[in-house]
Amino acid sequence: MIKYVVHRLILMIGILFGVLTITFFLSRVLPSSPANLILGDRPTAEQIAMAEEELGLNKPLLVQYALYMGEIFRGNFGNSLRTHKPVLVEIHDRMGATIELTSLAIVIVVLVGIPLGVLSAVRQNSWIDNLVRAGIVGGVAMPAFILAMVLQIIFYGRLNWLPIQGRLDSIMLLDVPFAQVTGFFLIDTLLAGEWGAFKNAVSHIILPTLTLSIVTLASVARITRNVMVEVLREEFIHTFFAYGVRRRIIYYRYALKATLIPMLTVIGLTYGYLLGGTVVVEFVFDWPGLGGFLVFSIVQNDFPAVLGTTLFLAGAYLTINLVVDLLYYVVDPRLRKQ
Amino acid sequence: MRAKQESVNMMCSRKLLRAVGLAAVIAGGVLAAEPVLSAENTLIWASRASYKDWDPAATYSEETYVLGNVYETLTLYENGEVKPRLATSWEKSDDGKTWTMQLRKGVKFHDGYEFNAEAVKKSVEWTKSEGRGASYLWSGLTSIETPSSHTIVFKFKSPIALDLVASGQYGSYIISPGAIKKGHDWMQKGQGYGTGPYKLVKVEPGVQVILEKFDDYWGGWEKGQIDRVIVKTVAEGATRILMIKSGEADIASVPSDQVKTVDAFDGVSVTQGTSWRNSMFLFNFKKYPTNNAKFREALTYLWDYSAVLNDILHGIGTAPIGPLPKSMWGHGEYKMPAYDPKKARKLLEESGIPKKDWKVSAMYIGSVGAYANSIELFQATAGEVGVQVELFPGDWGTIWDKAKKLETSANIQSMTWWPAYATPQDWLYAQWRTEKKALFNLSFYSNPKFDKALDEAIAIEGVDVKKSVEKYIEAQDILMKNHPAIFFADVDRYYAHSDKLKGMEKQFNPAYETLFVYDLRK
Repeated sequence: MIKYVVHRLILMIGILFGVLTITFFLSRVLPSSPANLILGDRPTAEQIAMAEEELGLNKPLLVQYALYMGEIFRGNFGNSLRTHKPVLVEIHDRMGATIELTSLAIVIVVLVGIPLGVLSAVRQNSWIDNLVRAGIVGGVAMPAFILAMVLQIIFYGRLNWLPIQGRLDSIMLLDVPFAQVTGFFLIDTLLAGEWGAFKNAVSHIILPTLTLSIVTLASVARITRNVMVEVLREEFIHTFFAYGVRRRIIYYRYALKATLIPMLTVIGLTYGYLLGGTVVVEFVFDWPGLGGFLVFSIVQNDFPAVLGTTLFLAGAYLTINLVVDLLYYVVDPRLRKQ
Repeated sequence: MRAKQESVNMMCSRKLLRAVGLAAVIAGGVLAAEPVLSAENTLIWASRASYKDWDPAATYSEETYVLGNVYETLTLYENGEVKPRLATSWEKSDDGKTWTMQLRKGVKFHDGYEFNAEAVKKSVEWTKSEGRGASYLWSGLTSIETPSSHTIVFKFKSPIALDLVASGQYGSYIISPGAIKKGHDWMQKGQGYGTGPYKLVKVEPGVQVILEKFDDYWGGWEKGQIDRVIVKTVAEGATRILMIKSGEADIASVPSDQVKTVDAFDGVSVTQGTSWRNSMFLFNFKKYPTNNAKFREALTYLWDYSAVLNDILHGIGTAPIGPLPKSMWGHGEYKMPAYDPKKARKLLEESGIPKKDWKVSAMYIGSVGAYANSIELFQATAGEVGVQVELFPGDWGTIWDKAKKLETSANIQSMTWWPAYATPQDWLYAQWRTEKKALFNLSFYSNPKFDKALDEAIAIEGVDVKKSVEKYIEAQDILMKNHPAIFFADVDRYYAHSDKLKGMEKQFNPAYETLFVYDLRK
């Protein structure tokens, strides 16, 4: 078991190295020179030359690569060309926002999506099943940004119940400082005892979470339903029915357990996807997270930021997959016997 | 059995109901938190701009919208006149190379330093030595003397209209010695000290910028002025519109096609005014077939000018009368072409270019609606007389790199220009003076007669501004005879704002893209 974990960790480092290399060469090959980023709107020829010198862009590509990898091993990821802050600081500041949002979303997705899928499978072809399936199709087809804007228009524009953007009111950010312990506003405001700020943070996170959840929930519900339907066709389920075991116990104790392995996989992959896939939601709600940061960095070829953030997201994704694989051991006694 | 089953079902549904009920109560408690509306003396500005350079000696972009409240220039350009600001009076030598300025007394920097000749000297010399942004404006500076605490003498190696240069929104801000000591990197993090009415308090990149009133501002304060400014970065246009509609934002930038809708909201108005920006599509003088003068002229008659101004720009712009916006001094006035496909066809045939070669490429910033929509319209109207237009949208960085090299450049290139300070030379020099290696002369235009007239104009500008107008017009006359571009808009500036905000009419001095919060009342 330990051997397995160590083996996976070594593999992970290898993969991350590959990710870094590919991303590095991609960013250098892209047509737009990153020098444009650190220059203003109207640079002179000398300023352009100076910027390229500063970024080391006039050295041969392999030399640049070697220099960059050397810096990485020393833990120096450089500064973002756009914000002038160290990339590691940017990632640290922003990951809290993204992880808070995606964690909350995944909780809702699991708590709502899975029961919905089960309900749909259990009452196959009933009106509930049809309603859920229609909802699933709608949710999967709905583009996230349209859902986001519709929610904004309804809950902010018409009803004025919820704020339209950001993590916290501007005035709150200024006048109610609280220590950023975890990077999660919901936790940090409670730790600081700031009840008003906590309420404010909750009201701000509702719409982005709802958008993310609804869009993801549909896929999870659909997969749960399909997997559950498959399981319900298994012989051992028929046997339980034949023995007269109560329906509720069959569905929620035996059948559901059998769906755990595929469900774990789906949840793990979904969470990984969400980490980077929050871009649209972050953009529409001005949520200062990693997804939006990565996209803006790519578009402007802010290559230190692109490399650092890609590495982080790749690492997070790989770690989640590792955790999921380890959870298989916990969940499946057959694997443990080996 | 069934009864037990049903009672189990009921228990589970009851539990479910209870859980849902609890969630609703919690949600209600949270939602009861009132939305925070604009406080009385805080201005909330919803902006799309992404700020990059907070060092005023390096800034050459959108930061000036905000920084113009934090820093000030020696002189102020307004309505065709140069007015005192941090300098109270000035005079120049007959050769235009030496300028003596008297500085305002009783002015302080935000960090407590005294504003005096020494401070100005330090600020200008530092800007020049850092070599960033618009520092090239000071490249002719040879020495600065400070004969008294509030008298300063600038010496240049060639004549220069220093009163104009020193009024510019780029490269001429006076920075506190304390900030200079801390350096460029410190300032880039969103910090700095100037003499302006507002202090730069905090910059959270991608979230907000906070300015606060500087109590010791030399201009003084009266009731009703803004105490605090929150510039929120709101990336999505629809979100900004909702914020201005609800009153959460006092002022916001909105997409041009939504201006009429937003103006119709209760309590909201959109105010528009002149700027010094003009938009055009430049012709490539060295690439076939736009290297042919008649062919270029023909293209200028294939653009539907009024449709673009009315339906694509939605009235946020006026018809140009020359290569410079009509709001700039020294602009020439020309009879501009109108949409006339018959005339275009005639010119095309007279050009001598064979029909099979009536093909041009157009490169432009794809995300700018004004360019994308108007060039697509042009593609249609040109197509009607047999000219094929191939479109190459992209982002500015990529496009510029391609446009600078003849082999990768296009026949038609999008461009919007505005000056570093109040002078025609900014347009004419950067875009049309001969460049050995193209930087902004993306037309690859090279005409020694034009260069000569322009150089003469620039030389006299420092000695006698009024005389330089003749030479500038002469240069423009030469330029316009060559059909250099499709000039399609003198672009206006506009803001959507709450009706409670007073003083918006004062915000349209084309010399400054800054939103001067000091002039606003709420």
